[in-house]
Parts: sequence; C-alpha cells; structure tokens
Amino acid sequence: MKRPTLIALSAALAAGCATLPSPQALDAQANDVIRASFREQGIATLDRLNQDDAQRACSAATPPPPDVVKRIEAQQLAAVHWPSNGQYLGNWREGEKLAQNGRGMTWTDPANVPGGGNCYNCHQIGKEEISFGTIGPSLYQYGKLRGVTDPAAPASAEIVKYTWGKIWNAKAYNACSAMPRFGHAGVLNEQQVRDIMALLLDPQSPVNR
Amino acid sequence: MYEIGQRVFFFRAGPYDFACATCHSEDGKRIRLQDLPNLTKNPGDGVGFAAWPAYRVSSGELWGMQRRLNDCYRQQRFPYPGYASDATIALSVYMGVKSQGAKSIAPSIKR
Repeated sequence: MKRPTLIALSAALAAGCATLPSPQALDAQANDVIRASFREQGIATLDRLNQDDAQRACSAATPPPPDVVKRIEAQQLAAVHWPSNGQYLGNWREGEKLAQNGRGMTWTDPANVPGGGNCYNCHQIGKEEISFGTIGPSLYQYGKLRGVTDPAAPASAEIVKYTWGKIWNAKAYNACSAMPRFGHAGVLNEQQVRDIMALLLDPQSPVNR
Repeated sequence: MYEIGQRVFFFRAGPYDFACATCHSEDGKRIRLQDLPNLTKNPGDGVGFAAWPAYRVSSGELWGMQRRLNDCYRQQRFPYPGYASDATIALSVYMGVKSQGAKSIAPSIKR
C-alpha cells in the first residue's frame, strides 16, 4: 500500500504550494500510485502497466522534443513486420467485419478469441455506416483519393506499403499517434491486417466505389 | 493529489497504448456516436465530472464516478483499478479541479 506516500503528499500540499515536491518526485509518486492501484483481472495482466519507450515518451500533456520523436519513429518503423508472403491485400468483406468489431483484449474478453480492429470507433470508413467516431480522420474513399486504381501496380507501391506500416505500427509515422499499433501489439494478425488493407485500398471495396 | 491525477490521466500503456488523454483531450470528438468531453479543461455545466453519479439506461444502474472510471479502464485494456484506489481518487481530484465552477447535474441520465 502507498498510504504513507499519499499522507506525505497531502501534508506537503496542506503546507502550501511552496513545498510541492519536484516534478521528478511527483512522477515517481504517480508511478507508485499506478502500481498500487491496479490488479490482474482475466486476460488483463499487470505487465500491461509496463510502458515501452514510445508509451513513456508520450505520457505527458506536452509532446516529446523533436529528437525523441524522430528516434521513436525510427525504432517503430524498424519494427514493422511486412507481409511474409509479399501479399498486402486480403478480402475487403472480412476487413469490413473487423472494422466494425470493437471487441477483444479487455478483462471481460476470453483469451485466444480473435479481436476486432475497432476502426469505426474513430474513423469514418464505408459510407453506409453512419455510427463512426471522429478521433481519427475520415477514411472514406481512402484508395480512390490517393489514385489507387490497381493496388498491385508499381505506382501504388508506396501508398500500399505506407498503409500497411500505419496499421501495423502507427507510431512509425507519428510517435504519439492516438492509434493503437495493431500488428506490433498483437491486436490483429497478419491476415486480419491484409483484410483491413483491402477494405481501404481495393477498388471494389465500398470505401472506394 | 491533483498533480498525481494529471500524471495518471496522461499515462499511456496497455496493448492499445491508451491513456485517458487519448480520447479526452480534444474538443468535439466522438467514439462512434458518443460525444467525448475534453477533460483537460473545464468541460462545462453538467458534462464530465459534473454529470456523475448518473443513471445508465443501458445497464439499468446508477453509476458513480468510480464505476465510470472502472469501465473506462476496462475499455482502455488496462488491468483492473481497485475500488477507491489512489489512482481513481487522484483522477477524480484532477477532473474535479478542472471542473471548478461548473454546475453539477447529478444524478443525471446517461444512455
């Protein structure tokens, strides 16, 4: 228990702002409070509280300095797993199901059940779905707006590769992006990423028609 | 506790890299059709901290701030926050201080 820490902190606060602990001391206290406040439940184990470099650097009200941003983006880009069979696109119908599905990885979810992509939680994607979130940009006509008429054509290679990288590890392009690192964190497997790629880039997908 | 709460609010972790701030630090955002209050400033009368406890129509229950935070953390894919744990108290202090002057409408009704 961290009661002694908090009592000490309360006493410091009661004594006035002049005695507020240093930012570093407060960081340490906050870390102790977090460690003491959570317990394991179902598949949500306590190791989820262990931050990696990217999470740690993006845990403040202000973004990290440019050199740190660059370093994180380079690390994350180097960690992107590109499709092992060279195939970037799967089935857009499966991709749409995944985009709709917001389940998986909470303490009420069972282990070993494939989760969803949560895409519509934050993005507009297909025009038919009007219940979409706005934390991320609209992805309606994603491929069409970028001139992708044949995803297999060399002219499309750059945007196809970027889109895979963005879904696999959004932090490779924006260190403190709000978007989960779906492949990197094991939220989606390779085939699921392929299917979501098809939803965004296949000219036959309702996103591009 | 405010200083601790602010740090807890911005703490990113878990398989989705989410902090409270990921969804609650900008104006006018939504998850699906659900409006998200910006909790890094005063969100106004009856919004955010000033809306709880609330009757949740979807669950048919009265939820306090603790229960609200518990379900936030579940959807953040975090481990389970203890009832009245220091992190949840600190977060409540942070939100309460930010909401200073806002009119509480508790008990309110939520979907």
